Amino acid sequence: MNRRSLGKILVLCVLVSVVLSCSPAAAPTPVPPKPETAAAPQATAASEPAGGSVEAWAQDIKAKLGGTELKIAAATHPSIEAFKKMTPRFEELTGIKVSWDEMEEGALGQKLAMEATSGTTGYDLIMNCPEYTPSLADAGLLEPLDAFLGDAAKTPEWFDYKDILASYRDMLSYQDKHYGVPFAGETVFLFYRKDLFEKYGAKVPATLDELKETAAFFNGKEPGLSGVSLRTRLGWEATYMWSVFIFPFGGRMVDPQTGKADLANPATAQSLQYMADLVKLAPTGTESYSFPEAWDAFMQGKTAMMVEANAAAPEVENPDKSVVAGKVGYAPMPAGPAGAFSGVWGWGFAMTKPSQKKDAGYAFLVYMTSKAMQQEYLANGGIVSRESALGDPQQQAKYPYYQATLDTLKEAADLQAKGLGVVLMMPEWSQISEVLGTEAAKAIVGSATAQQACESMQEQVADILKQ
Amino acid sequence: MNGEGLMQREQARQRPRLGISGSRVAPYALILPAFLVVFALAAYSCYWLVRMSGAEWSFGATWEKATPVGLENYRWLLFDRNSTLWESLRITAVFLVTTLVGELVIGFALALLLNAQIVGRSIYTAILIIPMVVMPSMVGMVWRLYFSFDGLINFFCETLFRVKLNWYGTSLALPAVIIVDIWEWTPFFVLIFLAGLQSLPREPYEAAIVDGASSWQILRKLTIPMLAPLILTATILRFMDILRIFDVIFVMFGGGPGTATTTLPLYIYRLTMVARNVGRGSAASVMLIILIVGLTYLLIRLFDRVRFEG
Repeated sequence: MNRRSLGKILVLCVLVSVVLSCSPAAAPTPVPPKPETAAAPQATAASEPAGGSVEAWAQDIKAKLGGTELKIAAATHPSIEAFKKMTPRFEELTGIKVSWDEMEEGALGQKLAMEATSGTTGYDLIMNCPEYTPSLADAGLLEPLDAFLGDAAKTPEWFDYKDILASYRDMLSYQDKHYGVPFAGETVFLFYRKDLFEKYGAKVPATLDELKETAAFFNGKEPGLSGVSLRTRLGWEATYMWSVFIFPFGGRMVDPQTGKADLANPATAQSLQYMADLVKLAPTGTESYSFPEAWDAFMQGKTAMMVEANAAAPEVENPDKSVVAGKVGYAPMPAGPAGAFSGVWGWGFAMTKPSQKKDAGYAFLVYMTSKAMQQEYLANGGIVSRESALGDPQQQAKYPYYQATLDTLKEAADLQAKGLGVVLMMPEWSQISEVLGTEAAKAIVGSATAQQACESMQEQVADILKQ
Repeated sequence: MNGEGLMQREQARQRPRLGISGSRVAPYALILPAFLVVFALAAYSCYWLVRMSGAEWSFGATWEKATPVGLENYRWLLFDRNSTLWESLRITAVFLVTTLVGELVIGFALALLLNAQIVGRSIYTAILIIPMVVMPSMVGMVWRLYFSFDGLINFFCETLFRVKLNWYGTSLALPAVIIVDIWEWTPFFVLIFLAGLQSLPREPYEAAIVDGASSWQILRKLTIPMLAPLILTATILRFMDILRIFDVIFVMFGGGPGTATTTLPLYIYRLTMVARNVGRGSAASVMLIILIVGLTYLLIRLFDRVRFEG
């Protein structure tokens, strides 16, 4: 072997290692919504709620579990910020030590997937969302909470599980078991410009047909004004937004009875066509819009309406960022031919199966997400998930979107009652979501018809589900 | 073999051999540790990559749950009508050719300009480095804003040509990322070529001027041939980089709209990390590696030929 060919081999080895070392960056994450309740009163509820005091409960816990150390994995999120502020008091009351392992959202998903690959975890509690649930549960990483929630000795009355909205409660359930107590969530509803609607005498759309007509009416009505704004970026954002339209049209991704892919039905294609039509009434470039850009278009007064997550509402009402603050009305998702439905998505605490400190973990979970602690949680910027807060007239007066949120979450609960949801609770969901997002994005830009896209989805999803 | 090489060989033969430093084994012995580390890492990763490419395995399940499927992942990628491998390859090829040619030509022209006797050359050179040292994700985010419908680029388009373009649409998204890549990486060529130009001997130029050669002739017959090895080295380096392009496109469009900017690395990312289909992602990675190594090998061959003919 001469020197030159040896040199070439070396160069090739270096090349290979260079190629292998190019690792993809983490996925972008939703910007956490702004804290909502800056000036809410400090927690007084902790002292004397119904059904025994938190202090009495805490004394009992301290006697049994004091000195235990909990390890929690969480993503950066306003609710986690709130919990962290509440942690010292919890530690003082119960003697349980808490160590937070906080990371960026994409990193959390990848970290948990890695732990699932290894089959065990060092965390006692994790921050869980619908997407993670099936694969983590299948990997034997999650402990069902049903036994804990049904145990009156472990679940004090001031926790009030039923006060958490039904659609949120069931958001983290998989195969009839609950894998988490939710503390933050979101749903998609309609934002509209009250001032423009009054000026032109337009009616708030109650059906999806009216939504399209109203969007067409406002599109170009004033210089630089478009009808509606929404996210459609390739991938999960396209999937998420489209899934909001599928169900009102009577479509679905998978038949909940048989578990078979059901994307080739005409209603599904209709809903995709509807979304593609709606995008034509949105600002130029919407086919690449991520949710912050969709929000921004509405906040800068460039669109008359927006179909987006309620998480945008605090931003929309923030006069520092939004020129339309105070001029916005909120309505539940308009109804389609098959009824009014919206989706629900959010975060909760789940307990890990390998944890040796389940009682301490559950005590933490109960304390932090309880009704008794809700005021303190909201005051620290936590995201609302309880009916008592959303339905409170005082809060509603302060936050004009609470009523619409409540109504839309009822629509979401109706959808769940039919066994459907914007996230399919199956371990294959990430693959399916990618297929739906890619094909939907093709239909939106017109490189495939809605019909073709749905047929392609059907074929691929059936393939993923081995049907 | 040219005269210079012969002379070096003659000198080497006459050099007295003192211990290991002078022995024939020394170069190999010295390079061995680095070689072993690089080779072991690459070989181990490659071994796993190939193994995973022959399995159906969802990221998040344990490896025990993976099922061997032979060449099925390759078949799916190459022949299934739902695979967008060929579309990604086409996009990658368009991206590769346009950015490489653009950066090479503009880079060379800028280097020639900077090589002329101009005032403040070091300032221009310093400014030129900026695009390369900015974090790629930052580059992506900033340019995404510039290309938005009411952004900076459209401001110029409107002022100069009275049109506003939809850079976020399917037809212009790829040109947009090409423009950004050219902006970001042209300085790489400028800096290398400028260094090369400044190290060229003066005598051939003086002789050419005396002989009455035009500046175009000087460029074609003197500068380019003398810089050829450098041009090829820089091209090979950039070539490998462009084939792996991920960050800026990922931040700007994430492969969209539709699949307009899904280059091969983005497709691999979507397959592996988003769809969690590690098998197909690995199979596509293996193909990308073969593509890069194969094409680079051809380029190195070309490089050898040009060097020895020159």
